[in-house]
Amino acid sequence: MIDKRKLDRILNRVEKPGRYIGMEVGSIVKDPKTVDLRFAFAFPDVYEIGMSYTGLDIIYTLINQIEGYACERVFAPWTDMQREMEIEGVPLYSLESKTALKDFDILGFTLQYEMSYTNILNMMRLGGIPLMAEERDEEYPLIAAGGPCAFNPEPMADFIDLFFIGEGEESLLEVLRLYQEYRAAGRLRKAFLRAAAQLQGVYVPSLYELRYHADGTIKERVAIAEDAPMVVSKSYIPDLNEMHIPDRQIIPNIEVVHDRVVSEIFRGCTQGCRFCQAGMTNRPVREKNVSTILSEVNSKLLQSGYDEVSLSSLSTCDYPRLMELINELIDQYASENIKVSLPSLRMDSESLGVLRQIETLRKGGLTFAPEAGTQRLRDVINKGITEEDIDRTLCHAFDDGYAGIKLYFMIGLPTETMEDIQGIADLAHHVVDLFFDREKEKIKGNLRVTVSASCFVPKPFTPFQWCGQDSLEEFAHKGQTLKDGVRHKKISVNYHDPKLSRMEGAISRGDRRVGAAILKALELGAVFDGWRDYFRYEIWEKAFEETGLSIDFYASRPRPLDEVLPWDFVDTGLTKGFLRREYEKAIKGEVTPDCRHACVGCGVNKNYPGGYCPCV
Amino acid sequence: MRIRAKFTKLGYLRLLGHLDLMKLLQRAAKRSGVHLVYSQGFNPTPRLSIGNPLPLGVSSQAEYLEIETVESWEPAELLEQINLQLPEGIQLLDAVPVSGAQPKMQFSEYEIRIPQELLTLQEAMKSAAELLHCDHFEILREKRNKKTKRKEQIPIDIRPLLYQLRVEQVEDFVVLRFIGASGEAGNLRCDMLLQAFAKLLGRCIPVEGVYFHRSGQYDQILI
Repeated sequence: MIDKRKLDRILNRVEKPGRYIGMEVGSIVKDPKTVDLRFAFAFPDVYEIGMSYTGLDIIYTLINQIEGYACERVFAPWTDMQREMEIEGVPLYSLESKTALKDFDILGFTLQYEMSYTNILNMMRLGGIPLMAEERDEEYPLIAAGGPCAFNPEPMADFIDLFFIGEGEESLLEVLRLYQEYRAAGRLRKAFLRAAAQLQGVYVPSLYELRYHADGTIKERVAIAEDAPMVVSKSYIPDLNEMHIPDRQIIPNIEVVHDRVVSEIFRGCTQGCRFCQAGMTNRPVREKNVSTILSEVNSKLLQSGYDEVSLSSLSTCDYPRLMELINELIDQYASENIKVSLPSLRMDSESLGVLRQIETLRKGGLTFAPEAGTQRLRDVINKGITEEDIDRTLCHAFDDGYAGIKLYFMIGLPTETMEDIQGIADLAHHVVDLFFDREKEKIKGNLRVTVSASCFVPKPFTPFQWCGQDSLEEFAHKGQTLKDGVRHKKISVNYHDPKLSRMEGAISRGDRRVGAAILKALELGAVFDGWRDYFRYEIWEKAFEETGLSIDFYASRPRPLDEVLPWDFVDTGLTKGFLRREYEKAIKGEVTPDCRHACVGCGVNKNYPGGYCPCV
Repeated sequence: MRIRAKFTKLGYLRLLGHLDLMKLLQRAAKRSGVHLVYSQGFNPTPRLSIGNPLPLGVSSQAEYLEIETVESWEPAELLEQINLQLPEGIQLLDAVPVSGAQPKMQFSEYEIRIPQELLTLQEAMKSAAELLHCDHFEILREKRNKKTKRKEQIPIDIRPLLYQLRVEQVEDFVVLRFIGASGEAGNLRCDMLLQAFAKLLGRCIPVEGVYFHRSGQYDQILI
């Protein structure tokens, strides 16, 4: 336990001290003396963001339901807190029992976005834990990591002992039991890691060595231990109705980003958007039954006292029984002042029908993501919406009284030309015309169209994994063209500085050598890189340069189809042939239909049965 | 049914801000099955108010809230149900049904515990005596001028706001106990009293490691 008196002193000096105290309803505090295995769930960003992550509740309750196991939480301290902790000599600690990180058996980091990697290293440092895996002996905690970015674990391979690939909740308890068994038998960490590597969904980077060609590309991956598997298959839950569903949430004492009951209604996505990593790696689609969802929502509402329920998934309108579910929720809870909310709606009229049901009182803004400005480019990325869809949806939306429309786009998509950029501006103007070209008496409200353009980052395990990312100059030129192309007082354009996206591009498709640059960036002062105010590109440029690496090599270089990619050894269920076919179709502008209607042969049903796949 | 309840705000939860505390109490009521009356309008919220909000970081054993419930409750039963849903540190101490306009709390009793290395007992006694001896004592408060939006130093006479002040030594701490105005007559906060002490001693008193605590609130006191 850390020095409470010092902590008291610190807490009086920092902004939002509620971030650092724990004590929430729903949190589980076990007496360390009665616990045999101590796990710290570490989220490498501030409390308000980490507490909004649904995976936290799953892992937290999964481990804590086991007698003798404790799962506690730790978040990245904001810079003021870090400064005070360093001055007072207080190490980073868990919220539940206020234990220093160093005293845990296992630390599990979640990899939600690449730009949080420096925060991971920073948290280890503040916890007094050596950063390099090879420098840690038995007295330090085992460092594990999982989450969406673990599909390319290589950039963090030097620092992490063990990765969970895929749906970690499936393999986590097995790994913990194995750890306990090996420790009880007095066996070394190395022996445990070698045994754990045999489990599905577990990757131990220290068991492999990488060899490179003279041009810097990967020649081969060699196993150091002869029994280390050459292919690591993701773990996944075949039936979500059978999974561990938390009956509670931790109710934060301070306001967080998503402050509501969340129920995940399905995993995976059949849309097949070619830029989307989650849509590719989370296949097959698996749905929870309406009854499973209703009972989950009910127990969480009773336990939390929240007045809002959010139904989450990658594409909520694809849930076949959505209307039934929503009507049921409204019937049960509307009288108790409980609202239903949905994230990410597709641009079709069906979605608006759903919205009509839940938005009874206030009309906020609507957000749509056409992603690209022309039909040609939308076909390239396989975003299955057409001009007519957009027109029809927006007309309905306007007639329903919505006047604030946000449109999300990406710039720098493969095959993009300046015509596509102009297309974004044209689409925005078209939306304005749609609003005013209606009968006079229908025109109500003050129209606001917000165009938000982000910079495309090619991701591993997508058909665009071979594509080069646009350079800073190309992005800047396109961004400026877009801004110049919009001349209307009802339209505002947000275009973000591409530097952050470029770094994300370099790290997300990085190999093992990129770890050195991440470490160097930390040493040069990088932290909270995902926060635009804190991100400093010069640091990263310098970090890559000083470690002899090229940002261009990882971010903007197009990769030949036969190049060995750093993440090729991970099996997500998709065949490389499918990704290649999709890539080739993309370049030709051919669409692939939603695989609910016809199998597109992604390969996932071969090794990952269960779930919604018309082919099985 | 309107109910007024006294409650505590102790330990780490002293670090919750006023709005977060409101939310915490509203949710606890919801979980406990005590249905609060909602406000009307576009954004209905449960009716719950807390008088004289505490500054962040100050603990208390005498906060007051008022709620309006849909059903009628036996106060002891309501207290028990809500307490089951509250985290350690925040607990209702008593609950009484009220109707009509309620007398407002006008006075707060505070305890300031200062590590003796920051302020000695002698220094504290001397300053307290001097302060109590005079009829007026001005300190400067930083305030934002509403018109110019600029910060300004405004003098405030704190002596009329101070009704009682005692100094004692408890273990390694020098403890200042005082009753000050906290209502229509003005508001004497702990940091203002410390500022007065600092002015009398001609040096600054660091607040790190100092504990601030409200021990009582009253609608009237005997002077």
